[in-house]
Amino acid sequence: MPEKTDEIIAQEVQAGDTESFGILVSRYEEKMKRYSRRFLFGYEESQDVVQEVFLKAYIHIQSFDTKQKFSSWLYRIAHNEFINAIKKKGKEALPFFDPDVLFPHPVAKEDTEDEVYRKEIRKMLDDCLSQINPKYREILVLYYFEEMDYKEISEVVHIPTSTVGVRLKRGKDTLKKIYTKKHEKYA
Amino acid sequence: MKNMPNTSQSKFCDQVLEKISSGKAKMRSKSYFILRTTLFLFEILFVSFLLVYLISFIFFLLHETGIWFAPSFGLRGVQIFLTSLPWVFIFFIFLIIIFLEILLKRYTMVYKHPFLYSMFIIFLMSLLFGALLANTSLHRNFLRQAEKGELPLVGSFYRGFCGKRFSEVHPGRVVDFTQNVICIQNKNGDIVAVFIEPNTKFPVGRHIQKGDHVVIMGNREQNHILAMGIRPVREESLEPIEDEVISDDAKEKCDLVVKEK
Repeated sequence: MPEKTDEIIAQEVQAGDTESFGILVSRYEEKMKRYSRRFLFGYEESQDVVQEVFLKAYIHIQSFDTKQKFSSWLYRIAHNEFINAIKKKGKEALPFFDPDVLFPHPVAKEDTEDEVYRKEIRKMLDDCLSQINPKYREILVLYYFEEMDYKEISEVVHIPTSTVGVRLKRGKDTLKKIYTKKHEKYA
Repeated sequence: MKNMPNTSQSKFCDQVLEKISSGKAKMRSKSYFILRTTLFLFEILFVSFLLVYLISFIFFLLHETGIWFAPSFGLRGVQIFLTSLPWVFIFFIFLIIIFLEILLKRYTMVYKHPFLYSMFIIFLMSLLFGALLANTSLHRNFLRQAEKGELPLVGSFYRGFCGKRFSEVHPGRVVDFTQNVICIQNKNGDIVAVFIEPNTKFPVGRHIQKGDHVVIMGNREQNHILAMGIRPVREESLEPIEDEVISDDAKEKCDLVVKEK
């Protein structure tokens, strides 16, 4: 029997089948934990935040439009909770206003990077996560670890697709600089 | 067939479900979200209407005070126009546009495009609807009521802004004229003599007759203006002053004012 889609299960939860919510939790538990570990790098309470994400999803399940993708909706809730956690802790600065979203940018084509290059970026990211600005860190995590495309990232973070491309490029440049500097120091 | 939860679900999953079943996390009803969305839409509509209303008021105000026509008198007129704009008002409108943008940002159509694009569209739409609203009799009626003291809350707002006089732009109605002097009567009932100089500009022609609405550009000293520019204005631009306002002795008053100079 084919597995039910997330959207159908969400519909069942909306109809009152609370137990089915457990299926959604099981399906997304590891993804959310991975996302939180990398985005909230160094935040001890990241696992508690993940729990909050699922509880918020349950509380707000009736607002979910089953014609849309459940994963985008859940990631959006996670994004909001993670940003709140960062703000609460106050360890990292989050600008109130981001000039990146103000102006149009030339539409950058999504690079078709090969798997070797992507592995290299992931390795660099794991090494330097805490030193990257959350604004770029999140985009890098969603792109390289959650393997989302520009459109999906745009829906999670609520920024224009062109801004996703710009942040990704800047994030990669920053990452390479930090990584090179770090390894030169220890060379 | 009901989908049974995975029997080997993790401890984490159990914790989440336990919190749900114990009532620590309660599902909000669909009606809650319908109500929330409805209130949010009302909020957007209210802010949008406020924006359109304020922009239409500015259009009305500029027509009422004659400032709207100042650019037709050339560079000096453009300068007067720009310095006479209600900049505090305009700044407030700008803040409302930003606020409306923030409210609309939750929608895909808005967040998927740069901020400036959507701000520009909001601004253009507000200008268009503001211009349309300004063309109705709404502000005219409010001003009439305000002048009679019959408009609560915003009466002083209308009286204050629309009653503002500018030193170099003077709307009025022609009550008498000769070759070199035009007498106009303004909204306050004052008779003002307008002296035509050799360099006086007539951007839409010199054909002026008694009863015409005009806008004069020039400095006023007591009841005299040395006109830098004179232009008649169509009635739909400026409200026709009822005939009773032109007093019977307007011509005599005009002669007196001219003699004073």
